[in-house]
Amino acid sequence: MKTAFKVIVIGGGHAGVEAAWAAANVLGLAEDGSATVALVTQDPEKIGVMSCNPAIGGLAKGQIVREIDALNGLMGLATDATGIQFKVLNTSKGPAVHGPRAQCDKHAYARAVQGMIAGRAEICVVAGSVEGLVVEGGEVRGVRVLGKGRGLKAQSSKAQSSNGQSSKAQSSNGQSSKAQSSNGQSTKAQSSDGQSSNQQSSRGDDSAGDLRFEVLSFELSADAVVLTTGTFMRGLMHTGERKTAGGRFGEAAAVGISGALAGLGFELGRLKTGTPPRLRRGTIRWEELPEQLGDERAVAFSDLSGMLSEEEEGGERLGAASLSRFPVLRQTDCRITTTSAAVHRIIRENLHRAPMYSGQIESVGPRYCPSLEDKVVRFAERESHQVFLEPESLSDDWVYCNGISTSLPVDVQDRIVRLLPGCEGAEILRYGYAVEYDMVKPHQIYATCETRGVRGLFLAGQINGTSGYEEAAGQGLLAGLNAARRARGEEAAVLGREESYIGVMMDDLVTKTPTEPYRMFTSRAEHRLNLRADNAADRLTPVAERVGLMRHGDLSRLRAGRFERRSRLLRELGELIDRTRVGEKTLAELCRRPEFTVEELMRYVGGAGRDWPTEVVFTAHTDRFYQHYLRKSREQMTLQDDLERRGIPAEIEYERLVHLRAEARQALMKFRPVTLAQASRLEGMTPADVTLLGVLVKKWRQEQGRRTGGEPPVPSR
Amino acid sequence: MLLSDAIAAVSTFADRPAAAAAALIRISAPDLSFVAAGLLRTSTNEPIDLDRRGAFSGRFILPPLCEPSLPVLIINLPANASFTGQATLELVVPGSPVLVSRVLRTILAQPNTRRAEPGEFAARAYALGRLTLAQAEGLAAFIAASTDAQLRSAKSVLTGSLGSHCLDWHARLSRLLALVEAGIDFTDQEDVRGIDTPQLIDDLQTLLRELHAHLGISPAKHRESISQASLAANAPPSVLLLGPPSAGKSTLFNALLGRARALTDEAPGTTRDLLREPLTLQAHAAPRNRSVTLTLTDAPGLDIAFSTAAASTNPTEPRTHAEILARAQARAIDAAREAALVIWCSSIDHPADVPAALASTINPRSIIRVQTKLDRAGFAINAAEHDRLAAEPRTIALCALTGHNLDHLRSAIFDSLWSRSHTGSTLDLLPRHHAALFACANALANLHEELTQNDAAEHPELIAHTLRTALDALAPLTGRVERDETLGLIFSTFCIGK
Repeated sequence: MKTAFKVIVIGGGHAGVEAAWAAANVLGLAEDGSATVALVTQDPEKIGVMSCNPAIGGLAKGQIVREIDALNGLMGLATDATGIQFKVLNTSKGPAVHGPRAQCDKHAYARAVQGMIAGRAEICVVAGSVEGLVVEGGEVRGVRVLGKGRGLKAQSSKAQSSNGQSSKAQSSNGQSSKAQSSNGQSTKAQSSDGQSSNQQSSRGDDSAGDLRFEVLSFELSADAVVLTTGTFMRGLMHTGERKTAGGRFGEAAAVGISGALAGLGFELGRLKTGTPPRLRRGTIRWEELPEQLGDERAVAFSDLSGMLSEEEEGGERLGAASLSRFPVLRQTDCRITTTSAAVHRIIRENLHRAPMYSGQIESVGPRYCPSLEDKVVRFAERESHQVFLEPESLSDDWVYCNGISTSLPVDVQDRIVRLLPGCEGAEILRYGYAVEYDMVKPHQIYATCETRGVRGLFLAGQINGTSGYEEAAGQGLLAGLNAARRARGEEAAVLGREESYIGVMMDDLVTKTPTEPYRMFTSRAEHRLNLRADNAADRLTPVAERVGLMRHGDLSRLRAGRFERRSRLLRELGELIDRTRVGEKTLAELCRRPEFTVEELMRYVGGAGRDWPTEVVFTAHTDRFYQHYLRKSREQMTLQDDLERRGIPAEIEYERLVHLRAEARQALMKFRPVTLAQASRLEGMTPADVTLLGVLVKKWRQEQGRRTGGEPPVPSR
Repeated sequence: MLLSDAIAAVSTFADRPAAAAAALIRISAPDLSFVAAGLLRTSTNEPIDLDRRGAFSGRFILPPLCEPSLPVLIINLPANASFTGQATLELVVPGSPVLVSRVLRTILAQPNTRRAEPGEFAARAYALGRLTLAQAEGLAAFIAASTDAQLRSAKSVLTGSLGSHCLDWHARLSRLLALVEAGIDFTDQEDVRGIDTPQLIDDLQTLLRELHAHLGISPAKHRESISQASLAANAPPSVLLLGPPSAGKSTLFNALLGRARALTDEAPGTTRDLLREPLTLQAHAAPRNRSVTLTLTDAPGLDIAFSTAAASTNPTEPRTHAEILARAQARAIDAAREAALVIWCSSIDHPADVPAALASTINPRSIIRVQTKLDRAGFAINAAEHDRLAAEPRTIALCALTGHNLDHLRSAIFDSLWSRSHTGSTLDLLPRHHAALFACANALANLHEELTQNDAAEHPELIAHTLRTALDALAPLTGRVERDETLGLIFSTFCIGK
């Protein structure tokens, strides 16, 4: 049994798969051709599952998915391959706040992700529950895994069945060519997985069907560990008065890891989230409800989706990504219904049975995603709320009720649902529930996702107090990248607030005390006009190349080629726009006028006997539209840059800096910022405090220099 | 600076103790029990109770004196009630300088006790969160204030009256920003509608009106005020010599400076461009140690015919001599609008008054009229004429060559500038505060213009950008707006969440 890896990723959710994928991109295969990354999950069949709304992207989140794609991640590709409704939100507003969103077929999505992971020989999937971390001298060495007999059995048998399913489902959708390539990978995946399952079998638990397996405990070693526990860490689900331990419906909680983290000195918190009931589509009077359609012309998340000819794709093993076709699946519609005064009355009458109000749940849920009972209490004057009925898959008839997340008892949910127009006879396939889970307060990590307390231990996703697939995936990518860089002995990499939403998120996490699950909004980004979906590749693909994310994997070479072409076209078109005069003005000047649209620009440049790709014209136009504002914020950035460069020694003793105001000192002691810029963003810090801190840090360095005869090392981030 | 030791100082006339009825000595430390136990007694010779807040009479023990103790008024302020945020004792002692210094020395002889450095009590108050930065700054200005107006302004910052205005503006701007942001980030929400443009324009106008009132700028002249206001905040006031060609402005310029800076000639149009030189004028009346510093500006001669042409001339490429002259004049007119004070010069043999078109754009109180060339050969000024000139308000007849009446002009300039900067009706704001308010007003004025003239409503991201610039401008006075606060406002206003 292979037990030594470079990077171990715990958790197969959106953070975990992105972490494993990124680490594989950086590390490649081991010298002996074996896997370098272990992905440990309780149930490999649940890898890439969409626990809540089967949708990816949206306002600000769509930008994150575009960033993940630009950084050679997998979320954009998986979404493009499985989307059943694509829609760009906010198109009536400026391009900086356009938010691409897609609803996915949730089964197809999980299969696509599993297929992509399986297609990477660098990644070895291990079934089991992590019960402890192996830490020596403040440094992580590996993990202790408890392989439950049933889970192990399930892994080896279900791995096949799941792959079998995936090819079947895809061919039923009429993509025979893709299904074949996916099949090919599956075989490969089994052989790489085979190592571990053989090992497990040899311990004598191949008595299929028997649930009384011997519990198997083993250690895996690695240079870095990425922990993505999602809602599973001491997860507790609530539906009315009923409480069930678990992180997701029908799945067990992860119990040991909370204790292990607390034992290592981490301060834990507890958060809450919830999910609405699911209905059977056939029991809804679907056609009678107002419909909501996607965009006529779907826009892909990935720069690679639909970009290759079938011949080009044919020879490659590119995971489940669809590089020659987009969109892949049949597009579908959603419907809208509404709550009523009658519904609200039932909720009010039963509030004492709602865990959020009975005191059964004390942890905090997100304000932006309130349960229906929250809405009714906080906005009592409203008599109606919209409910979006969204199909979860093309292959079954589950419908997600977007807008009525609830943890009320099942009998109340029954009554509420039947009062929704069109749902009078609806069958509830799964009741809504709230889930409470443990998280690690994020002031204990660096902006690299590495913990301050244990070197080599990285945290990503809901464990850091965020919510949302996209937020989780962004952190997973960064954690996987830095775990792999650590394994290679390379310096950690961070993303700046000015270059990405992922950077904004990481900086917010390490400078603020979260009071609710953190979700991205465009208003969190001061450089919003530059952090756009359209220019994600321009911002981040060069970064991906620099930090090693494009080192391995078949997609890397393709992406590099596409990006090189895009950059060249953007440069050439830019020159043309800046040079071409229309009357007294250049095209560039015209682009600054709101009434001069992309289509208009296209008419001018298209006439030169050359076809410019729409996305290139769009970015060229938008860059010039915002040019004036972008230039100003770049000027501000150079001021801020100075603060970003000025490091604060990790070992500085704030207790001794008595000149600082008490409040400022407390914030500094809690968050221990790495740079003066980070310090400036802490709560309670005034500009005067930052100036003073700058002086004190300098003085402190000089004193240390005198004492030790040299400058202390600047901490790695 | 340490916070852990005790600091003490004479708080009344600290720098030059003189005999007075009483003096105040202040001591601040995390713990003052050692002073209380070692040096103080109640009037009935009991140990004093530091938990008892307030003023009471007591005794100070002066060890080497035969007299057992000195009667003092003790003001005891526990940490939660004191200025510094630490336990504080204030001792009112008889005002004899010898006695005061003995008491202070006795206190300073206590372990871990030292003389407070200038401003250290305030510094402790800031360090312990009792004063905001704006308040500490106000305090510093308060102590340094040399005029009533400065004092009023310093006080208003210290007690937070400017602060509370700013907080109000800040709150209203934050709210506007939240409404705009809601229309960006939550448009997928049924409940959320971004703010209407007319409503936004309305709110902006109200805010601008208030900011302008505080800045002492007329809203209509916001644009023109930009340079004026920044000048007022950061640079010495500009005093402009203006008048018809060959009025002797450059000669007067040189005379006021006391050196030949400008080229002078009888021919009209000698001066083509604005010349600026710094100048400091001393007070002509007591107190004599007052002075004002200004920028003296010599402008090209203003030909009335040309000045109307100047307005319509395209300033890009002057080709003819006339155009060059016209441009120079246009610049002179701009300078007049920005100047704190205009000295209108005309020759006594060709008197001319300020052209009506120009007069309407300048505050009449900001004009001093001067008649030059009093020495003009053949022009004998009789006594009656002289009286007439003197009676005319603010007209000074002088001769720059002989220096005759030059001092009158100097006094008039001094008085005008001094009264302006020291008894103004608007708050005499600290320059930094002025700049902050102005930058805020400026951003709002830009936005207002965008919204009323262009179709900016389709780009809420740009509206938000400018609103945030305005809020950031207030940050030195109010602190920053955290992005979370904006979101908090949105969440408390709208029902968010599908």
